[in-house]
Amino acid sequence: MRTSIVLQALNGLTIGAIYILLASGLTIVFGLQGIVNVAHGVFYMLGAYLAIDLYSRLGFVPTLIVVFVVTALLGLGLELTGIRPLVRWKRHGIQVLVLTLGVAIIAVEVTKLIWGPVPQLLEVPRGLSGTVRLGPIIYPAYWLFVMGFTAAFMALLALAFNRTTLGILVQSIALNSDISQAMGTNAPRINSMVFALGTGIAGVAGVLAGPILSVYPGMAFDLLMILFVVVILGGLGSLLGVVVAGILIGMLNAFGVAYLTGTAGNIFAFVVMIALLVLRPLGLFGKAGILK
Amino acid sequence: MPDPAAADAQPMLHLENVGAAYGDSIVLWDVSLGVGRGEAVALLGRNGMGKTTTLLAIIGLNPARHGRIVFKGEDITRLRPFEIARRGIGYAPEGRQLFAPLTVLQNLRIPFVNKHEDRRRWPAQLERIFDLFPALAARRSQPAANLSGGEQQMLAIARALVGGDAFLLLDEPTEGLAPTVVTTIVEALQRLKGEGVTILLVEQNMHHAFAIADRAYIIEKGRISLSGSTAELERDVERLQRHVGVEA
Amino acid sequence: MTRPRSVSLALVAVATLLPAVLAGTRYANYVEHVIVQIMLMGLYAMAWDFLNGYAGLFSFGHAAFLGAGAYTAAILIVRAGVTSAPLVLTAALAVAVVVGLVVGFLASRVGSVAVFLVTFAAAEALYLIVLADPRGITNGDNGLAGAVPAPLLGLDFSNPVAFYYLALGILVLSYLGLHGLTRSQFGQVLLGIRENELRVRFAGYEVEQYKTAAFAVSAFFAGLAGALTAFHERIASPETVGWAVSGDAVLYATLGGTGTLLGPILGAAIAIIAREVLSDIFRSWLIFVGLMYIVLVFFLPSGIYPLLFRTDTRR
Repeated sequence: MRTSIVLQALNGLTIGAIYILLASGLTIVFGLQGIVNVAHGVFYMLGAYLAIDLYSRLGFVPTLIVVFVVTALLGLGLELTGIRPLVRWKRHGIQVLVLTLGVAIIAVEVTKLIWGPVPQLLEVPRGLSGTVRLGPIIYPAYWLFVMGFTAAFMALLALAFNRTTLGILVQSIALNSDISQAMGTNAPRINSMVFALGTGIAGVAGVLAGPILSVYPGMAFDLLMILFVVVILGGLGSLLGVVVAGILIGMLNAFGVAYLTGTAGNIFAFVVMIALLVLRPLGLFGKAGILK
Repeated sequence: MPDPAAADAQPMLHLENVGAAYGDSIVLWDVSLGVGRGEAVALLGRNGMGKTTTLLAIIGLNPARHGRIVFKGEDITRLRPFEIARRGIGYAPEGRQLFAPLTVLQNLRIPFVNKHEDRRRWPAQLERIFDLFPALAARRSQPAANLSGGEQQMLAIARALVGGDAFLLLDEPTEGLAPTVVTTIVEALQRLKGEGVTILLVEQNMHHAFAIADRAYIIEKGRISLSGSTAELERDVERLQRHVGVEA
Repeated sequence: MTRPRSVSLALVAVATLLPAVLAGTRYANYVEHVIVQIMLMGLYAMAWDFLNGYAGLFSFGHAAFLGAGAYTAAILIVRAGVTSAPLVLTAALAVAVVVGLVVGFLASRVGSVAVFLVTFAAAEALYLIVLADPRGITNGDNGLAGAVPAPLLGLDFSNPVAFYYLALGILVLSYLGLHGLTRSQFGQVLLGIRENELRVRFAGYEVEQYKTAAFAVSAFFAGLAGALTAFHERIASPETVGWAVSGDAVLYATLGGTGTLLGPILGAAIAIIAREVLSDIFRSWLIFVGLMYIVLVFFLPSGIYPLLFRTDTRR
């Protein structure tokens, strides 16, 4: 019984890791510009599909790098052509939502045309296949790798935000974009860079998640809803919140699927989310007063 | 209206028939004023008359709907805020609006890196700030939120200075501060003026304004209604109060 | 550029005459079916617009109210054997309003961005509950089929033409009702809340109560659309409670023009007609839908409405 719990906990951590990678991009962009990027899931999807094509030709690490660059550039393109003009004309909110939704719908359809609607198989990269023995448990090495990768990435991100000058500038934009610009911060440029970083990571998350969750065109949207929960629960704009909430939701998912009917865990998550929003509008760790 | 500042030099900052609005409601109809190099000029008026809006138009956060704003000979009316700031304008907004969770040093670092090519000048800039505001030196690693009201105002002014800026835009620098603190701030500003820094400040309190400024403009309902040197205006306090109704 | 009133009257007249014109033709049923969908979705989107365009509350969970109406009706008819239309409708509306009050109560106490999140969460929770099928009431994934009430006063709900006129009548009445509400004291307060909440609060109004009431009103009409949809499609399906349908309300209203009440109906018409026409021609017709949204955002930020009608008074 106990090994089963530990097993589920590990599963929860792995799923949570993927949520964290994806949600971090979403939450930072929201914290900076107050926009919701419905197309975020598209980059995740692209990463997975690109990996299917590139793994055999390039190998694991080059694929990760190529995918990051491609999805980051595509994200940059979207930001510059679509989002920046809207923000500049002060037409955020619904407009950005509808725009990114349109882009997302098109991207999903094009993906269906190119790769077909049937779920595809993405295999675990050769170097990381196999299992690891942790005491009484045998666990896939790849899943542990995903956890480790996420942990390392988030640590790096936190360091970047708190110790580097660029990180401080990003924080200042999130705290008060207008005043930061009055202090000379080139917010539009930084916002674009951060946006591209977010989509790049989403692509990487897609590569990593491919062997764990299935690869199909709808993955761009399905995961988005859970990501919203993670972002809200953690507090919009809070990285620490995303980590905690991601783990929480991942756990709920894993245990829910294993022990209860799958949806009960998610229902619980939503109820918790609503309660939190009312009682603590900033989520678990929200800092800047974005919500109220 | 003849500009009494038509002194010898070209004004450093110069507004011509500027108009601005919030959404559909027009706040500034026709504002013209000038600030010469090395001068300290005050913009006075009751609440809602357009003082802050004027500053926001200058720094580009609420761009002018019509008219021209010229800084050091360049038309900055349509530039973006960070471009304006980088051209040498330091801004201390109303209510300070510091980056609360960031430390004093971090708050200062932001305008510095944005406006300076040469990072080696950081220690010199810091020294200048701490010399002017010793209280900040002691609190340098504290989050801005932990500072007292007076210290926060000092930090706000320091933020405007640290870019190496020779032109300061100050929005109600003495608001809500205890009299002793006000004295400190006023003295600091006088000292800066002595060093050649140009200042345009918005104030509700006439006395505080006159302690620093050489000249003043009175803004009423989005237009300049009166202007003159502080000496002239002080002679006519009665008339002033009728126009402005600010605290005497 | 024409006045809204004359155009809407013209549209209503055309709609009224349409079944007669089409009677006997091959595609009469199909056209009527689609137009009823447009009317019901228009009602749903109009209900959303009341909340967003007038009270300034952006809901991303309106499917909750639509679904509440649809499922209450279906459950009563199929599970409880209640076939009296007035009873079923009243119950459906009551449940929808209660859901609206609960969601409204929560949403009125958070900041403007959080309204979107709270409503989304509420709708998702409801969706998951429907899917989870507690005690087998909702029939989960398959939806609840057979949701047609018994004929009332000679009106047979399964008769397409009869239902067509019923839907048209209800749409017109609902529009008049909502329009009247926007002109009332209540509506003016809501507008005030949207423009400057603080000022309204200082004037002594209990802002939270007004917001909650606005939600209840919006939920009422959305629930009405939901129940009628259940009758029309003869089934209540979980998709009705899904976030995509919540998004539909936003899209129809945005496409047509928010804050206009008529706009959402136009938007629903355009979107649904586009879907019907394009899905026959192109397998990947969704690409055009996506393109439409992009074009909308850049070239028609206020929707279609301003193209057709001149708005002479500033709202």
